Amino acid sequence: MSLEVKGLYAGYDRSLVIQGIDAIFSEGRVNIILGPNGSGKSTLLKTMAKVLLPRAGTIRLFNKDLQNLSLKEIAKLIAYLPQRSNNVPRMTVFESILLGRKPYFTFGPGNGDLEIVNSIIEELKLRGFENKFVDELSGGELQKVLLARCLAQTPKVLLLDEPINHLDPKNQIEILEIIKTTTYRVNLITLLVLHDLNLALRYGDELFFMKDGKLLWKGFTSEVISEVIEMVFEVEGELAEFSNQRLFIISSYSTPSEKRVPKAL
Amino acid sequence: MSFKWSLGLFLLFLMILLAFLSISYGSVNISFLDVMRLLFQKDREEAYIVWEIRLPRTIGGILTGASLGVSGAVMQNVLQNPLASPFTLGISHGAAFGAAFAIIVLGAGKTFNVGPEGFSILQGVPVVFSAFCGALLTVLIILGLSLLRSLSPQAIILAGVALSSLFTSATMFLQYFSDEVRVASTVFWTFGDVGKAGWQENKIMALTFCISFALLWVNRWNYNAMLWGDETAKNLGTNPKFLRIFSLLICAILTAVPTAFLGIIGFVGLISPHIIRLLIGNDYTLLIPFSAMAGAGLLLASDLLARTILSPIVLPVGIITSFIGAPVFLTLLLRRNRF
Repeated sequence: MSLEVKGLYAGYDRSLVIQGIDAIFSEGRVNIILGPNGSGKSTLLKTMAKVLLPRAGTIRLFNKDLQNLSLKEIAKLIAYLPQRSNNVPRMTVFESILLGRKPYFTFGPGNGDLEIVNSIIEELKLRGFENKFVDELSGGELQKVLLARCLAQTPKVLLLDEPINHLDPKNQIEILEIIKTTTYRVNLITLLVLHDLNLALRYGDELFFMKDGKLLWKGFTSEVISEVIEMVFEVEGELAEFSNQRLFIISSYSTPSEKRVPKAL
Repeated sequence: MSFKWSLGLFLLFLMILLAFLSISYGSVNISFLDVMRLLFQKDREEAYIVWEIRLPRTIGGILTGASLGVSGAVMQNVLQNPLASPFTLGISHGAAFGAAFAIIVLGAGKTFNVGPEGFSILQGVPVVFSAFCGALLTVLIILGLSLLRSLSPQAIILAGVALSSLFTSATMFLQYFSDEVRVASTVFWTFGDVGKAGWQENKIMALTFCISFALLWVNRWNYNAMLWGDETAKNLGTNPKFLRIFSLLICAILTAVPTAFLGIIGFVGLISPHIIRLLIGNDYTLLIPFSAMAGAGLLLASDLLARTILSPIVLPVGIITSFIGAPVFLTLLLRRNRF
């Protein structure tokens, strides 16, 4: 059971951002997408959530083409958390998480929906926050609520676009731990866009390196070598081991290639 | 009982209280008890005042205020702008143009004497119909454009501003070539006045309100999803583009009907949802019905003031709504300085 992307091209009005991507994302794994700014990571996630329609190619979930599924059916299968946005309405924490159950409503929330929301509140240690307004929360608390809303969709796929940006180290770890444990426990297909290489090395089961709209390297985290990182991010450095953790340490950002020299010269 | 439900009951009580006050106060004061009695005894002399003057006026006020409040709440949501109001899409200017067109070009309407000076103006069914068409035409142009080029909410608002200005200049053009009675009639049309509401008007407004309210209420969870932006809404099973067009069309009709009958009543639609939002937040399951009650209450209170402040002169309520609405709104804003 997996999420399969085949020959995917996608983009916006005047630009083609994703230029031919083939990949398989497996269940029960934390898949982390890495790449420089503008490499198409967010666009890939949007296309997989059907927020953006592909120009070409197919996305299949459990052998069903996403194209044939309605927004509501997709909402029950795929939970998508966009990059941190300015849209934080004045709503309580409970209302915000309950919204994740919306795809299942017939008239309004039923008892089952309230139960699921309550168990997620318990699980993410948000008890006591239910009646606070989300626009008054700290960055870490807000991000937890947004993650809780995604989990309330009881999805099979979790697509998270930079879920730990702007968070302090403790909150970053807390959010990633929640993502990891839930992924293993519920057997989710989790896709994570991250910018922190070392957190990716620590939490990722599989890594996917993107550049210029293409997938340059994919594989298990243990297999990644420093040359891959150097090539994708145009930096120099090395992978080192420190108290049982692999870390990538950047030594300089000047690459030997001519890429740093502007083309006009 | 939670704060939200207490607030709902309070709003309902306030609305009923204001309705009773609205029926009993006026050039002839009728006591509360008499009002109760007269509602069931139609043969007495004062019964005429209650049944033919005060009651239609009060019900018209409730329906108009509720319509404007609901439209405001929904339009602020789908246009993602706290300044959106039922008139954002140029409905008031389109309606004013429609009325001016009927009065000046078609020469429609019968002569009535109005105002403290008792000058004569033209009004009547063709004027109302033309105003309704003008209002709807504006909205259809904007929605057509947005379907054609898939406009963003901001672009929709700007298109409304552009069309408002277009219709204003067209109205002024017509007025420039007209005589004083007709110019006075077009100006007088714009003064929103619940006194223009009769049983016939109320029936149409009630029908419009009930159908529109039901159609918008069904989408309450979609509006909650829209609060988080189009991308999140889509991932929660809501189609933002469809919901936007659908809701704007319903709100346009819901606003155009009372506007065509009564004239322009500003500010109620803008601030009623904000007053509720400041109290309970943005949950549309409650915001939609509570905004309706707040709008109705606000309009009834304004009309009471309009009838008593310069008594025996009865001011058009449109003059008062902004006059008392603005300070109420500013007070709330300063007490809770966030939206």
